[in-house]
Order: sequence, then C-alpha cells, then structure tokens
Amino acid sequence: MDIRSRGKRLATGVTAAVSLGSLAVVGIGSAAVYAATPHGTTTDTTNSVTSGQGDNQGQGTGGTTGDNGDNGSSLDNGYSGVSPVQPGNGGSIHSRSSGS
Amino acid sequence: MTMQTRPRPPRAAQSAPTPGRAAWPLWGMEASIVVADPGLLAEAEGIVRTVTSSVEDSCSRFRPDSELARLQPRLAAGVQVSPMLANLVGSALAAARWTDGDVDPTLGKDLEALGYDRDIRTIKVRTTGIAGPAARQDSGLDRNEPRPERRVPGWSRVSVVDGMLRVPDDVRLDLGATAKAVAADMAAASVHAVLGIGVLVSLGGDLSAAGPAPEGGWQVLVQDLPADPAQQVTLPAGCGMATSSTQKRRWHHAGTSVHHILDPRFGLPAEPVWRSVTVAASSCLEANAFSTAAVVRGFSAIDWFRSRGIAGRFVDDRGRTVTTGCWPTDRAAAEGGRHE
Repeated sequence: MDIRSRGKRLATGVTAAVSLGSLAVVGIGSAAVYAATPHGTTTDTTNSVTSGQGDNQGQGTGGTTGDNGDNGSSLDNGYSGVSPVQPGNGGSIHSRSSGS
Repeated sequence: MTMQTRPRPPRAAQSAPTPGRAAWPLWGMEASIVVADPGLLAEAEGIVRTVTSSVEDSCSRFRPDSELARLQPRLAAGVQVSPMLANLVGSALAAARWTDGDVDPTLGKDLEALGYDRDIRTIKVRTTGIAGPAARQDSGLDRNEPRPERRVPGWSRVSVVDGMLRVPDDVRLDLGATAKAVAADMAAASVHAVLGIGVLVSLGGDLSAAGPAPEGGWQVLVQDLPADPAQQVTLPAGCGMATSSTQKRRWHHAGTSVHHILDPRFGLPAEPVWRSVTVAASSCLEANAFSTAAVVRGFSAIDWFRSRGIAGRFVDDRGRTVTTGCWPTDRAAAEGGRHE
C-alpha cells in the first residue's frame, strides 16, 4: 500500500469517527478533535440573555450558564496566560501568519 | 471503531530530517501543513483534508447541502445536530463569551446584506489594502453618518445543549471565522493523534501546532501583505496563532470597499484602526477570537490585551507595530535571530 493510499485510509477513519458522532468515546474522535478545542470546550453550551445586555454597547456580559462544568477553565477565561511566542531563531521559515 | 496512535518504527540515531511541506487551495485561501517527518506528509495531508471537508460539510454558509443550511428551517424550534456542528457552534459561543460579544457568530444576515452571500472567490475582491485618512470611509462605515441603533447581541440568544441547537428565526449563523480556527486545531491534533508526529497546520494563515516541534520551535513569519512589516517568531509546540486583517477578504458593495470583520454592535465593517492584529495563544481558536475582537475594539484593544497579558502584535495604518503581553519586540526578535 503506497503512502497516498494509507493516507486516504487513515483519513477515511477520521471521517468515519466524525460522521459516527462518537467523538467523545472513540480514539481519534476524542483524542484529536475535541482536544483541538480549548480546554473545557464541549458541545454543550448554554447562553441566556441577561438583564441589560441590550444596552451595553455590545460588550455583553455573556450570561453563561454552561452545563459543562467548566467554570474557571480556559473556556471562561479565554486566554491561558502562557507564553506561547518567542523571538525567531533566524532559521528556515516553516509557515506564515497572515490575514485571510 | 477505535483508532489509536500509529506506532512508529524505531529509528537509528541521526540528524532530524528536514520538515516536509504541502499546500493546496481551500476556501479561497491557502491551506498548508509542515510535518517533522516528511515521509508521512501525504498521510498528514489526507487527514487535514478530511477534517476541513467535514467542517465545510457541517457549517458552510454557501452550500445548500451543508448540515447548517439543511437544518436552518428547524433551528428555531431546536434540532439535534451532529457532534461536529455542535462543537463548532459551542466554540463560536465560547469565543463570543471570551470577547464580550465582539466576536459574534450571528452576523450571517449582516454579511449577506453587505453582499458577502457566496464564496469570496466569486465576489469582486479588493486586496490592495488601506492607508491613511481614506481608510475610514473605505471601511464602509462613514463616520459622518449617524450610527444605526445598537442591537441586542445575537449570540446570547443561541444555545446548544446536549447536541440540541436552537437559533432564533431572525438569526443566521455565520461560523466562518471561528470554524476555520477550530478546523486548524482539529486538523493538527488529528495528525498528531493518528501519525504521532509534530505538525504545523495553516488554514489561510491561522496556525495550529500539535505534537513535538522541530528543534528550535516552529519558525513563523508574521506578515499580512508583502509591504507590511514582517517579523520572524518562534511558535512552541501545542500553540496557535492567528492574524485578523482589514486588508484581506474585501469586496465592493454599494460603491465602496468593505471588509469582512463586522462590528456586532452595528452589523457593519469595523473601523480599520489596525491593518492587522496577530495573536498567539494556546489554541488557534483562542488566537483567532482575540485577534478578531481586537480589530473590532480598535485602539482600546491595546489596553485590553495588556491587562489580560495577551500576546499580540498590532500593525496600524502607517505600518507601525505595537506589541502586548509576551510578544517579542522587534529588538528582542533581532537579538534572538534574524529579523525579516
């Protein structure tokens, strides 16, 4: 089996995992797909309108009542505070960040 | 069905191979991957293509056969959606919460009203950028005109609970911004999980890294348009980076040029205070949410980022840069290596 065929086979597996809707329990689905979203993000999120939200110039308070038990996680904070970027080392460029 | 990380054959001690790279057109932009093991490049590309295809099938606003489009008539009453769509909506709502609604996934009707009702490739696009005082009127928001009424944030009226999605009948979801970032995160994590290698995925310049990085970290050139100031930075393993630009994804509407980042308060293009904003975070979704929100907030985004320690790089309409958080300054970058 050549590389492209193996790639297609593996990719098909990912598709199957996704389409089966078993992401939370099967290997690639759980490990890869949901791990890809910020810690604490799940499919179950509830937002409710809170008083005064309409006149706060768009800076809504959110009114989050999420039932995913993620209070205090990065899902709420939205920024983990890690130091994710450092000066370049002058080596070869691997990729580019630009708008799209 | 269970898929586990593919065991890698033992390898004799040797110098690290040169990373392999592949690129292809996607959603009117370029998708690319860089993998630490070039021998697995084709397999990695197949995985990324599968993930992006699944995301498109789930939430495309331009395809009548997407899950979101098909279910639209039933969303007001609530409908069970796929885990993929639930995840994409949940991520979009998370981004809205993080940014106090500056990133709002319910602007579909506003984008349609501005003419962004089909694939950007089929819309008359202008990508020459903006500069100087003309920028304000160029944004599509004429500051001399009275602003429209502020609106109730649409995202606060959307819910997805146990896979049951409810969207008010007067709201149209547009998951475009966050879905691209989530797709990058999913794709990178999937490649690492399946192949057990380090990978850097780029979807239109939104980056997500998973697995071990090459020695020295992933080297990323941060630059929007070719004439803009450039900076080489190191993105560690497991992190994400996103750039939001008011110079890209522009089109003509009603005799003026507009861009795609809308201010949810008015449903109109945000004032282009910044040519671009780049953010590094622990995921591409986080980075994308904050870079987009910074464009919407304009000048006040600087203090907001600094108060929260967000690593950001702002480029204003004169090409000047401002950095926040732990983002390296130009001088630090020059001392750490070559500065583009």
